[in-house]
Amino acid sequence: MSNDRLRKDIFVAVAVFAGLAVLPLAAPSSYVLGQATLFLIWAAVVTQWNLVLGVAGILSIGQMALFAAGGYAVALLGLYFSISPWWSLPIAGLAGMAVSLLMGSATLRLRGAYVVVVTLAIAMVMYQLIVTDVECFRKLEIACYSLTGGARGLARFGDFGFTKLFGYKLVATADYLLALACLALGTLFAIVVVHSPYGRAFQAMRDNEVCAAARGIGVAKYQLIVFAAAGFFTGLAGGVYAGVMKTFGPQVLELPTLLFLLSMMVVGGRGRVWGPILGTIALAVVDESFRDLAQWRNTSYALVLILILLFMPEGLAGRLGWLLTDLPSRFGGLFGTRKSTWGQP
Amino acid sequence: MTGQKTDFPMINTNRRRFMSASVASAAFGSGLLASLNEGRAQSDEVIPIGQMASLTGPLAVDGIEHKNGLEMACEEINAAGGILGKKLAPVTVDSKNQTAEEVTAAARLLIDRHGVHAIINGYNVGANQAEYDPIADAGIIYIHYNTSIGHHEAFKSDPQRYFGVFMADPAEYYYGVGLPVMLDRIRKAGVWKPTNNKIALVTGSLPYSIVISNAIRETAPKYGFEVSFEEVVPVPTTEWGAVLNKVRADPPAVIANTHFFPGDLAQCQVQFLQQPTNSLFYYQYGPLLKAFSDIAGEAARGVLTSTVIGILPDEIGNSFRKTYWAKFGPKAEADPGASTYSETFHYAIAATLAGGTGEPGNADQNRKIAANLQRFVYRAPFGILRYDPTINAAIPYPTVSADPSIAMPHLLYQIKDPKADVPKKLIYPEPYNEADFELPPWFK
Repeated sequence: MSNDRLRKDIFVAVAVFAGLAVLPLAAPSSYVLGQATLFLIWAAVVTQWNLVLGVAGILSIGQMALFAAGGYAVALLGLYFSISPWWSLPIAGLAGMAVSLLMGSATLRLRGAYVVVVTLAIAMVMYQLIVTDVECFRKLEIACYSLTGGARGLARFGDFGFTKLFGYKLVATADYLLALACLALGTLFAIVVVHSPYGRAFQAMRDNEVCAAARGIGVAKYQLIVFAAAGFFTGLAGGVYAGVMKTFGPQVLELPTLLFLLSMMVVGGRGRVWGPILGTIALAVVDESFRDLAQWRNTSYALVLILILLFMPEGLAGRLGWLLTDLPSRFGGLFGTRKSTWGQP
Repeated sequence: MTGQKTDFPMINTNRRRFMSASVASAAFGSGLLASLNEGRAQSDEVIPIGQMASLTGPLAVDGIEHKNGLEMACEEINAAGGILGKKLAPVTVDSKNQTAEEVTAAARLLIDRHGVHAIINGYNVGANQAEYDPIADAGIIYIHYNTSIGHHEAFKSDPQRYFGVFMADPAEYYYGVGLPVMLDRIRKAGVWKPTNNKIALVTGSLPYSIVISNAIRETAPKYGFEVSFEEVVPVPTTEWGAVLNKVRADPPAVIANTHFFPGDLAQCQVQFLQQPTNSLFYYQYGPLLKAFSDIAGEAARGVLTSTVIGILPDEIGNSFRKTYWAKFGPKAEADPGASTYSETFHYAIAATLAGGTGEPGNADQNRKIAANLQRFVYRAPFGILRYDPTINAAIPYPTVSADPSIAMPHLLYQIKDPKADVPKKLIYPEPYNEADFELPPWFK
């Protein structure tokens, strides 16, 4: 059963990512590609966050600290050691993993709301340390800059070199494909994990931690494993973001970004493999639809979130699964009779 | 001592002559365009002019005025025949909270979807020049008021690539350099006799504020001041009690708060007056907006503030303010509107003289316009706009240039009447100043 679902999810993933990879052939504008790149990066972050929060049920909301660790790794190494983002990307992943393990260790003995408070506190401490870093570390032209760039952030630390490789006109396409690769890698990893014994252990922890422990699952061990895995890929996404945007600052740690990404997960379907991607697509569409109605845009996000919570509490992935499996079964079992598990680990 | 006047600053004896010359050059905007367009048939073609402005979020107060300024300029330019017979069509896209991704997305949208020939902005302080690359790829003109030293570095890193990117005001760094200069002038004038030479620096956590504080710290010793206290305050905030208590423990001659949100600063001033010290209080930017005086009320009287881009209290400035209020209502803030208004005129003149505008991809035409922007000085409601060609940015008077006819004045104001339509009065520098410094009412 699990192998079938693994194969099905991988097949769907290959089809989806292949389809997304040929999108640039439709010659969209650099605006569309730029927005798509950004949303692919966000989807990569939410996919890993979903692994921790949705699949393993650990109420961690400090995910952007892992993203920031990866981004700052690329920016600092590029700025002070002239290391290309290509070389520093693995380090970005490791930086994300290190912060994630710290977060995981700090919350081993905590549950529920206490995990929320501690993980958010770690992210906020990181934010405060960066924005209050004003000590003069280097002087450029006439102005002083701190080690981390403080609230200004860091810029001109190098990029992926797409301009030199492909010329200005193809930079947006190259950025898009890199972000897609980052998301594909993270998603395939997530699919394999959730269908593996590790994934089942995570779900057991989420559904009933006491029973899971009674069945011999080392909760602490598995919690650290899921934090480490999610940290690596989130850090990687942070590194890709830094190289693509060519600037990185503490704004990514602010609450609006966190809430925006959380909305993506809720809209898509928490705990479902395809939830983050569907949620990202949905909010991207809402964002684009209300672009010319600036004053309604934030309201529209809130409205979508409320409607989803009221009418599709399992998110878009949950509803899509119902449409694809449960609904047909009610009309004569044409498509099989089993309960909806679409996108569910 | 309150209300006592000083001979500082001296009114320049040549002020009237200088002002007359300024008015003459201001007529140059619509008048020059009308002359250049004379005999040109009106075309149905329009020239899209873009703008990335915060229409939502905490910076929308200024963003809406930036939009108004662009639209007002386009209307007047179109009435004068547009650019060689073609009318300008302003397009403003929301840059929300001004993060790198939001500003970059807005720039790409303007270029790809609207095909704008130029982007004329107010400020987007959080983007760290991330938007420069998509704009440079399109080869169009981009004029902004980001007030950022980062612009100098980005431009110098590749002047050929960023040929069309201009910063129409001096970098924030010069606020910090200019403040000790101005304090020294006030001290020398004699009415303010500080008991020590200490400056307490309260720094907002945004980069703009940090750069200014760093520059104040660097420059203060050159003018006989020392920074005796420093604290970075995460912003936005309305709770100033803790930091003010620390400042009161060792009362300084001057307290400089470099955070710039008017509402936050008004709260700071109200809380300071609960237990004031004999210190001048300088706030960055916020008190320029009427919202500061509206919130702080009588507590605002005597506060010092400055801007490197503010409407001058002269014929051109007053005329602009009057027209702006007539169009957008008396509660509209004319200062931010003046920025985009002026640069749109400067761009229109430069493009007309260059033989027309350049669409995305037409870098050759836009290089001609960029050369004209560097070549021609423009007299705006906030003084002289002239770009230093080595950095494509305006330079301040008197901090960098001693000649007010080729540099933008760094203006020091004091709040004189919080209830007035314009609560602030310009006290420095000559020849633009309209009032004298007075000791604030909280001094004992």
